[in-house]
Amino acid sequence: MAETNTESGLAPDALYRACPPAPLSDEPVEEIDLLFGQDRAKEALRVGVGMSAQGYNVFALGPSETDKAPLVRRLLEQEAAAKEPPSDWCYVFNFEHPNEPRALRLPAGQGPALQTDMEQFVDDLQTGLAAAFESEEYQTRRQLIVDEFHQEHQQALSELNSKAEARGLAFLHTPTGFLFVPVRDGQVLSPDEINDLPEEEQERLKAAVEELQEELLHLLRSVPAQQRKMSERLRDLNRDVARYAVEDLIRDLRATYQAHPAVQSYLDAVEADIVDNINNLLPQVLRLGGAGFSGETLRGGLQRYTVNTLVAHENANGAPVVYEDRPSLRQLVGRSENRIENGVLVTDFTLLRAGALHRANGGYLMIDARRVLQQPFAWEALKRTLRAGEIRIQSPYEEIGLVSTVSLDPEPIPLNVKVVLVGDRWLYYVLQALDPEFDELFRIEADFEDEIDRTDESERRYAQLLRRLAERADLRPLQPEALARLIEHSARLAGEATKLSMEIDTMREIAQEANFWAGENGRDAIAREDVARALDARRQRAGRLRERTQERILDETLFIDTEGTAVGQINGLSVLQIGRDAFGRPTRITARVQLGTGKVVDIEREVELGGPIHSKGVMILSGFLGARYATEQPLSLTATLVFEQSYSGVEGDSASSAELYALLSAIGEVPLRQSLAVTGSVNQHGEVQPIGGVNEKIEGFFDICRERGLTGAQGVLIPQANVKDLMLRAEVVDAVRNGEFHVYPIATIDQGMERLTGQSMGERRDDGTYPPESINERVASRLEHFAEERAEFQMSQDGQEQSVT
Amino acid sequence: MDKSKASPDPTDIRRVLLPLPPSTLDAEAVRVVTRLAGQLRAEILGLFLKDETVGRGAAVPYAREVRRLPAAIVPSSPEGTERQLQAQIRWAEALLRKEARKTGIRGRLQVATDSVVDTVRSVSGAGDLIVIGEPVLRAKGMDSLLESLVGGVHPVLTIPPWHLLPPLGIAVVFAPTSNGVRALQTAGQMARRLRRTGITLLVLNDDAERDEETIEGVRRFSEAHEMHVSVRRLAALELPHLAKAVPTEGHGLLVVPRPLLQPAMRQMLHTLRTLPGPFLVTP
Repeated sequence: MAETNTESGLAPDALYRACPPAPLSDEPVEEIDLLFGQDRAKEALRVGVGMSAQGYNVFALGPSETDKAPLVRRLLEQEAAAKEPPSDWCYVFNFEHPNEPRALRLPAGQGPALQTDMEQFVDDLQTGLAAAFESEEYQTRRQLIVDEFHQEHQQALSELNSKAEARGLAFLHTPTGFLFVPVRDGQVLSPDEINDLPEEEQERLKAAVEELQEELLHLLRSVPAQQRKMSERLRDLNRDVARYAVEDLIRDLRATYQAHPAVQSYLDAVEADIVDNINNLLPQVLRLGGAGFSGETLRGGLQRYTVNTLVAHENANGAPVVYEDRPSLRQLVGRSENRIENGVLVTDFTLLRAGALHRANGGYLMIDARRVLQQPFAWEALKRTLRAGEIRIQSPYEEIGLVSTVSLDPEPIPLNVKVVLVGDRWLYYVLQALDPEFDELFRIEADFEDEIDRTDESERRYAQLLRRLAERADLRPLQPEALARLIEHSARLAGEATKLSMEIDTMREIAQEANFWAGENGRDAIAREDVARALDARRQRAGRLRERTQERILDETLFIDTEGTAVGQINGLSVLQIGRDAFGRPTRITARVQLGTGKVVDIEREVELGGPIHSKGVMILSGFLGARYATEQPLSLTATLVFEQSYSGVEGDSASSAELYALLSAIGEVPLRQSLAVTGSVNQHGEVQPIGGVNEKIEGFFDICRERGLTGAQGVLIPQANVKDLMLRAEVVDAVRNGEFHVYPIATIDQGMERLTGQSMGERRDDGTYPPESINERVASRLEHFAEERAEFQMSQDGQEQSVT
Repeated sequence: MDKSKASPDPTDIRRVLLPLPPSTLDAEAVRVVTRLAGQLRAEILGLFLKDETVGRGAAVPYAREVRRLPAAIVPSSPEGTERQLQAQIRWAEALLRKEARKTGIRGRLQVATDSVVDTVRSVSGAGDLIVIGEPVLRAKGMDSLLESLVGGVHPVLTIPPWHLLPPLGIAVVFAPTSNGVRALQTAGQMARRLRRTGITLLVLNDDAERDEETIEGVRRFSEAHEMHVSVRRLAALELPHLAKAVPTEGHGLLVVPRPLLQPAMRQMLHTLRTLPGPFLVTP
């Protein structure tokens, strides 16, 4: 790049580094490493993903426009493809602790198979139990037990009846019990007839009645015990029949899952539970009969023998890579759903649902950092889960103590996952500073570059990247000239002509818009003009505030001169970033001096509109002045600096050189050219230091001058160190080429002052003086005059005090 | 019910009689039999058999009632016993009406003071089906009671356990006689009202000619009643054969014409009672 520094300023070639389109010519797009230029991040990801120790999760940080998430995901998918699919996880009923469902681990793909097999088992069980308990054999055996009890009871009653008869008594049944009463010839004796009997006979009958009553009472009191025995025998019968019905079905399942001890143990528990609870299951079984598997089967006792497959990897070709874009607590760690039964919310193990951590278990989980922090309880739950190394499904209401009713507490599932958080850089540093657990859990930062060096090779690969993006977005192909324009804009975005921005999202947007304009123009491919049009349109859309500011300057609401000269007044430059747009804006800076005590007063700071960096810049001016002009006598002036018509905060020191020019002008009463604007910070040695936003600042002043009419005398002074950052609009470059506008690189305050005044600063002589009529001499003379005035004033003050005392 | 009015179809069941001895009053019996009556589109009449001797026995000075629940000996009196009986009658009546209402039929309770047989004989008429349930079957002297009832003019249905109603299948022991035909018609009617699509015919007669006649008769019956009839040979009216022949293993109803039980009626009834399922004896 040619860069000629002449009296008329920088050559046009120095203002814009074009990208030659020839090397970007249309050739097959090879498989580009989309992480090119991101070596730091790539290496960090490789290490983070490869390390299995706890705590080595990854935070991928960088500007949101760097398209981190898809790049990271692609890398994770490559890694995951080489790994084996992880285990399936199921939840089953816990027969010992019903509120604590058990977790079953199975090889990949076996979870759904077990679920299906158990559904079939329940179906067969229902049919088998119904058949067994409706069989004639069971009914007969049951009836035998019942009959035995009844027969024993009836036999006893019959015997009592016989005894009663033998003693001349009748054994009568009442609605609630029994009576023994005397009879004769089959008829119950009336009280009168009884009284007519001999005393002895009455006594005998009475004794017999009482004896039989006692015997009957004893018999009836034994009934509950006998009924319990009968119930026990019936229960044993039911258990035997159930065991018989279940054995066959369980045998087949045991054979299928013989290689899985956990399943074997579960089947043991199922079998035991069916047998132990057959009395509770029977009503449902017999009611449904052999109806088979149905929704009703799932409710009630048989549901407990089903399996809930929480996560399965039956068709997986590697480890899972999960991107959770709604990282709420429930979405992360799973949830327990509810259903309504009889107006009440109920839940059970079949209603447990997997979260992203379950799905990613054994693989990788990507989460947007900002989103997880915005979700209540999610961040804490994520950290807790990573620390514990297990996933526990918990209700969010339990977290805040709103619910204390009995709910499910499923067995936690061991966690083996690599979490990759994706977020902005500032967020990473905030977490690092404020969350003590963060560093322990996310030890690897994958820092994505905002920009890369701009070389021939990187331009070529960048072009390939853009072409790949266009392909994936189904855009028209990009002509080499269009690619070149995009690359040039990428440098503009990076703020340096020697860099390329990695804001891939932004580049993709521009390509999308250029594609639109290509269509509007009837083109089959995207041309340079389409890219330029897209950029102009974006600038136009975001330019309302810029245009309003410009209007206010042009209609002289805001005072900015672009011609003539003035003492103690200069055009400074600042950048305003509003939304997507950043634009430069000239501001009048003025300086006034008076007799004083050597203080440079920053009015912005005094009214608390100046930030600390701005204040620092102003203080540096004092250092410069003192070092150059006050080595043998103190500064005896008070100077005030202000950004005229600025009513919002001022920060940064990029205007400190302009402030110094204004100050020197005010002290030496040397007029400054108002056709020039200045940007650049200054140090105490008078060296002009680089600043940011140089392109926007130049263009901001240019736009005003253009609207008023370019005179050929207008231009901008910029730090020499910022020349390499120049990527100015074509309009500006053309104006420079035509001699209508100028950009002057400045390395020292002396250079700048000479440019602004057209006069020589003057070299300091050995005796410490400066050449006559030089700017330095005039400044030094003025300061000396202030010092003398001050001394006189001081002496007069002292004299007055002495006369008083 | 007007006994003098002859039913146009002697096999048309229009009322179910259910004897309810107070000592073994069973709510399940009322529910099950009322449902059966509903399916047969018949009324139900419960016969509460009140034993008057109980009141007299309670008047004995030293008579004490031995209560079942809880087991205890308590003083008794005729008044107290009568109150118990009346309460029981009200409860039975309310239950019967409620179950009848649910089923959509008429139902009422009648209190009688005679024996089961005498009460049934005095109350029953044409179109009545007498249902004898398990508690009554267990009572002493049931064999003679059953024999007496079966010896009457109305069909008698016995239900060993209540849960075997309604029957899933119906089998008829058939002989090509008028009684056999009546039994067949009764079975056909029950099958139709219980919405069964077919019945099983257990044919006893080996005579070839009679077989053809039987088959022709069955075919006509099947066409007339739109009912599928499957025919099986029954070697003899003996328990092992009967047990295997009754469809659905105890969930089926066996219909037997009374003449086939002669001459050893009681023994045959005893045999039938050993079957796990219900049986219906037609006159």
